[in-house]
Amino acid sequence: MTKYIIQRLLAALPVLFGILFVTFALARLLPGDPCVAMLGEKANEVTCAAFNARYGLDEPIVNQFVIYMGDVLTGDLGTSFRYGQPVTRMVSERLAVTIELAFSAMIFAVSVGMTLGIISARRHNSATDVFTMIGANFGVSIPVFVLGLFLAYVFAILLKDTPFALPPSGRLSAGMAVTSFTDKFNLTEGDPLYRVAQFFTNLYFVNAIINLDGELFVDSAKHMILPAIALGTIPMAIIARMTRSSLLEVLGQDYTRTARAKGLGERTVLLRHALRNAMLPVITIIGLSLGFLLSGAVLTETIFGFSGMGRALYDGITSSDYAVIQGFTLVVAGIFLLINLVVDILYGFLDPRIRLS
Amino acid sequence: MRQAKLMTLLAILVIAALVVTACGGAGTSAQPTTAPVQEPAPAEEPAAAPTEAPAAEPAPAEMLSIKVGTNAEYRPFEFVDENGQVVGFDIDLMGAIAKAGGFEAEFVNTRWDGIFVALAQGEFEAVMSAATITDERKQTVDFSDPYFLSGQGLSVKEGSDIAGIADVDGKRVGVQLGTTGDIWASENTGAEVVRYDEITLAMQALSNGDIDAVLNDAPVSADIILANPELGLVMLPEIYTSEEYGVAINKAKHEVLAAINAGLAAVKASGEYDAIYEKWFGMAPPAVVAEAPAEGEEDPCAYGGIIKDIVAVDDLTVRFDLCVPDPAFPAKAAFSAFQIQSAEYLEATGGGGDLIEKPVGTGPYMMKEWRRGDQLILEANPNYWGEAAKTPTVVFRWSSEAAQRLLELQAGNVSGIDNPGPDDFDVIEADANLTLYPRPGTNVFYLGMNNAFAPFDNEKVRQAFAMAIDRNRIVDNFYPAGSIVATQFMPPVIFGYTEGLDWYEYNPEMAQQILTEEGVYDENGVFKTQISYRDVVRGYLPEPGVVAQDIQAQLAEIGVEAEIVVMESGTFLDAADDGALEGFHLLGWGADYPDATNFLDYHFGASASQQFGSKFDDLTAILQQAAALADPAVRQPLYDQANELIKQHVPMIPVAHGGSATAFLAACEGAHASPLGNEAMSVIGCGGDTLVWMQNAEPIGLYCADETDGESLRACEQVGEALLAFEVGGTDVIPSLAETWEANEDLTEWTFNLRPGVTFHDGSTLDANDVVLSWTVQWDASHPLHVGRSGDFTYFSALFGGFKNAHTE
Repeated sequence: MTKYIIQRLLAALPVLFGILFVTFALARLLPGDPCVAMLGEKANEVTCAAFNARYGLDEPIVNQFVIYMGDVLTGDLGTSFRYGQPVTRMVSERLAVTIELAFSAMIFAVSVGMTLGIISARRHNSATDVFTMIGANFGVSIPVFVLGLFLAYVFAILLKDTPFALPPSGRLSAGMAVTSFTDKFNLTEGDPLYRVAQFFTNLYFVNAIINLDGELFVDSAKHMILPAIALGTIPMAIIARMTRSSLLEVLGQDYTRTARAKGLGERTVLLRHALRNAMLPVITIIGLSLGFLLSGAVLTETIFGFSGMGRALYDGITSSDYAVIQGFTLVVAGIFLLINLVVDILYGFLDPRIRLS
Repeated sequence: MRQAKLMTLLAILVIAALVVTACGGAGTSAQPTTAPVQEPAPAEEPAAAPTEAPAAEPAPAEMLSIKVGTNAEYRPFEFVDENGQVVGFDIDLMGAIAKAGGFEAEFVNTRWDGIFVALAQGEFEAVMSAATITDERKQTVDFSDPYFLSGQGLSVKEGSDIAGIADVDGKRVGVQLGTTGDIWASENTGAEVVRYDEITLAMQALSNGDIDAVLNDAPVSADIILANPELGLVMLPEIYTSEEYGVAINKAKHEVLAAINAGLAAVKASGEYDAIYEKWFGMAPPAVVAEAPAEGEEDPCAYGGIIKDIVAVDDLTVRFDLCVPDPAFPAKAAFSAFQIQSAEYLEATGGGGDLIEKPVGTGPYMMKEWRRGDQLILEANPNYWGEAAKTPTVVFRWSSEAAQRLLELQAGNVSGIDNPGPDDFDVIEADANLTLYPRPGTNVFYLGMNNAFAPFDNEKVRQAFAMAIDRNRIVDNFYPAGSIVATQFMPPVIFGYTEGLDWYEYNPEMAQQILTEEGVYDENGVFKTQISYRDVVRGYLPEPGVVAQDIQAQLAEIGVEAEIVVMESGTFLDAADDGALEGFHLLGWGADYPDATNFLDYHFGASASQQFGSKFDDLTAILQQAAALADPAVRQPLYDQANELIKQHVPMIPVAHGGSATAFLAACEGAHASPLGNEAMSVIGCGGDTLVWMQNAEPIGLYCADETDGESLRACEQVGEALLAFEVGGTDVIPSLAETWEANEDLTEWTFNLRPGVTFHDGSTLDANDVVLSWTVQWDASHPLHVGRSGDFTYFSALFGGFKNAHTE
C-alpha cells in the first residue's frame, strides 16, 4: 500500500510540473500589463520599471520560469503583486474558507443525493422517481451563479423577516466576533505554528466547536447554507442519478434475489446488501465531484462574497497577479490529485477484489 | 520490476534536486569566497583604540548579532594580511561600533560583484566595504550615517609651500589619467595638469620634484604615503569633492541600522574614531573643505519634483517650500494619500508592517479588527476633535458583484452600498425602503482631434464637427444614470467649471454646410477619416465599443466615413501623447485632485502633450496666469475665459461626465455619495449601533500613502486625516488637521497652522514633526521609513512630480 502511494505521488510530479508550466504561460498570455493593473494608468515608466524589477518581470521569460521553479521547489510560491503578501500566507488564510465551503457542499450533495437516489431506486418508475429524476436533471443543468443569485434572492428578500431568512452573502454577520487562535496562543508571524493557527481560526465551524461558541456556529452555519446548496446542487444531482442507476443494477442481481429469498427485510436488503455494492461508482462520482467543487468554488465564492481560494484566483486573474494565479492553481491542482489518490485507495476498502498494486 | 527501479531512480533525482535547490536557495549571485573571518585582530600599535572583538564579552541573552559582508581587496579599508586575517580601517571601525552599539559583528569576505544583491537577499545584514553612498544603491539598501569622507586630496612634498588648492595655480599638478582628480583639477584650478597612467608614478614624480602636487582619491594617496615613508610626502588635511562611505544595511533590518548608527555616533564622540583613522591613514581625519567651486550649492529642486523643502516652523506650524508655484497644493494636501501619521508609530512600525494592517490616525473612527477576507470593523474615536461619529461601530464589507450588494441592502443586512449596477437604479428608486444617491463624475469623456492633420488644422472644421455629434444620444443610450452630458471639459463638481457655459447646439445640417464650404469633402461628397480608441472600460467611458460605433454612425450622417481603429491601451495612450493619432480619438480623464489645473493645464497648458497638436497661445497664457494665483475668486474668471477659448478652438468635443451612485437604507440620515468616492461614515446614522457599508472590494492596505485603489482610500478616510479635507459629499477644500493655511505671493510657500490638542488613536499628540515626517517618508526615497506596502507611493509621485533621492534612469 505504502509503495502504491509513493508511486502515485511520484507519478503526480510530472503532472504538477505540467500545471506549473501551463499556468505560468497562461498567466503571461492574459491581456493586461501587471504594472498598469496594479498601479493604475498613471504609473509612469520609471515606476513600472521599478515594479517590474521588484517582481523579476524584467528578466527574460525563460529565466523567470527557472527562478519560479526553484522557488516552488523550496516552498516559496512568490509574492502577490496586488497584496504584497507571500502567496503561501494567502493560501493559509484562504484555504480554510474553501475547504469549509467544499466540505459543506459535499455533505449536502452526498446526503441529499444518495437519499434521493435510494428513494428513486426503491420506488422505481413511480411518480416520486420521475419527479426526483426531473429535479436531478434540472439540478445538473442549472449554472452555479444562476442558482446562487436565485437562492440569495428567495431567502434574503422574499423570505425577509421570516424565520427562514438567510443572509445572501458573507461568512459571518457584520461585527460578529471570532476568537483568533494566533492571539489566543500568543503566536506571532514567523512562528511555525502561526499559519496553522490562522488556518484553524478561519475554519469557523471548527473554531466554534473548539471555543464552544454557539453563536459563532449558528451564524456561520446560516451563512453557509445557501453557498453550500448552490455549489452542491450539481454534484447532488449527479450522485442521485448515479446512486439510482447503480442501485437498480444491483437490485437486479442474483444475490439480491437470494437475500430476499432468505426472507431478509427489504430495508436490510437495500441498505446492507445492495447499497454497499452499488457504492463503487458512486464513490468515483463523489471523488470527481470534489474536483468540480474546487472549480465551482470560484463562482460560488465570488457570488457569496467568500474570500476563499476561488475568489483569490478570480481576483488574481482579473488583475494579472501572476504569482497568485500560479500559486493558487498549483495548490488546487495538488489537492485535486490528492483527492483522486484518496478515492483510488477507498476502492480497495470498498471492494477487496481491487488490488491497488 | 523495471518500473519500480525507474520510480526509485526518479525519487532519488527529485530528492537530490530538492536538496540542491534548498542549499542553493538565494545565493545565486554572491557566495562567500572564504569562511567568515575573525573579528578584528587586537591592534598592535599603542596609538590604536581598543578594538577587541565584542564577542569576547559575555553576550546578553538577546544581543543582536549581525553578519557584515566585505570585499577584502581594498587597502587600507579591508584586505587580507599576511596571516590570512581580514584587517583594515573598516574592520577596526566596525569592531568599535559593535562594542559601542552593544551588538556582535562578524565579517564575511565575499566578492564585490553582487555584494548588494547578496545583502538584499539576506545573506548578511550589512555591507561595510568602503561603499560610497549613492542614490542608486539606496534603492535597494539602507545606508548608515556616513562613516568616512572620501574625496580628492592634495599630496605635496614635506615642507612644500603649497598649503591648499588655492596655491596650485600655475604649478604642475599630477593626476591619474581620466580620474575624478584629473577632471576636477582641469576644471577648477589654474594649474598645469600632468597626467600619469598610474597614481604611483605620479607620487614618484612628486617625490622626485618633477611636479609640485598630486590630486587623487584621498584614502588611496594616504595609504601610499603611509606605506612609503621614503617618498617624503604628506597629504594636506583638506578634501575636495566629497564622497561619503556608509555601511549598507538590508532594508528590512531597521534594528541593525539603528544599532550601527548609535554605535557610530558613540565611536565618533569618544575620539575612538580619530584613533582608528590615525592608525590606518597616518593622519587625523580631514576637515571638509568648502564645497568645490564647480559644484556650488546643490539645487534642492534638481530631482525634478515640485517640493523643495518641508519645514516644521514651530510645534504647530509647517511650511512647504515648492520649486514651482502650485495653486492646487491645498487640493492635493487634502487627499487621503497624504494623511498624517504619528511620528512615533511610523518609526515603531518601520514604515510598513502594522502601519498597513493596524493604522493609527486622528480620524473619527479607530481600527478595531480587520478580519482579512471577511470584514473590517471600526469603532468610534471617543477623543475625536471634531463632531463625534453618529454610529458607534462601522463595518466595511465587500462584494465584487453589484447584484449581491443590492441583495444585501434589500435584505437589510447592510446599511449602504457602493456602485449599485446601472440597471438596478430604477429598482432602488422604486423601493421605498432604499434611497439612491447619484455620484457626480469627476471625469470627462471627449472626442479628441489633432490640429496637426488637415483638415483638423482648420478651426471652422473642428467647430463643424462639434455640431455634428449628438452628445445627448450617447449619454442617454450608453451611460448609467447619474451621468451628465458635458458642456465643457471641466466636470461641474470641480473647481474651474464655468456655470452657464454651453456647448455647440447639435446641428448636423449646419455642420455639413460648413464642411462643404471649407472643402473637406472629396468629389464624391465624402470625407474619409478614422476613429481610434482602446477597448478599456472606464468610469468616463463604460461602453467603448458601442460608443465608437455610434459616433461612427453619427458621422456617416454628414458624409464622413470614419474607420474604427481599436488599439492596445498602452500603444493608444502613447500615440495620443505623441500626437500621432489622425482623425478622431476617444479618450477621457479622471481627476487626480479636484482642481482645474489637473484638467486644463494637463491637457491644454504650455507643457501639455501633443495630443491635440499645436497649442493655442491665448489659452496657454490664461492658464499660466491662473496657475500663479491662489485666490479661487480671482482664478475662477480666468478659467471661465479658458473654458470659452476651449469652446472656440475645439481641440476636442466634450461628451459626458460618467457618474455612479451609492444606495442606502432610507432610514439612514446623512447618507451621501461623494464625487471623490470618499464617503464619510461618521456623519451617517441609520438608527442602530452598527453601520454596515458594502463596497466593491476589500481594502488592500490601510497605509494609504502607498495605496491607489478607491476601496482602500475610502477605508483610510474614516481612520486617518490629512492636513486639509474635502467637504462631505463635495470637492471644496476645508480645514482638517490644519485650521488655517496660506501661501506666499508667488505660491511657492504654503504654510499650515495645525489644530492644537489633536491626539492620535494611540494617545500621542499631533505636532509639526508628525506632519513633516509623514510627508518626508513619502517624498524622500532614501528615507529609512520610505517603505509602505509596495514602496511605490504612486500618488505622491504622480501629484508632486517624483521623489527626492530617487534613482533616476
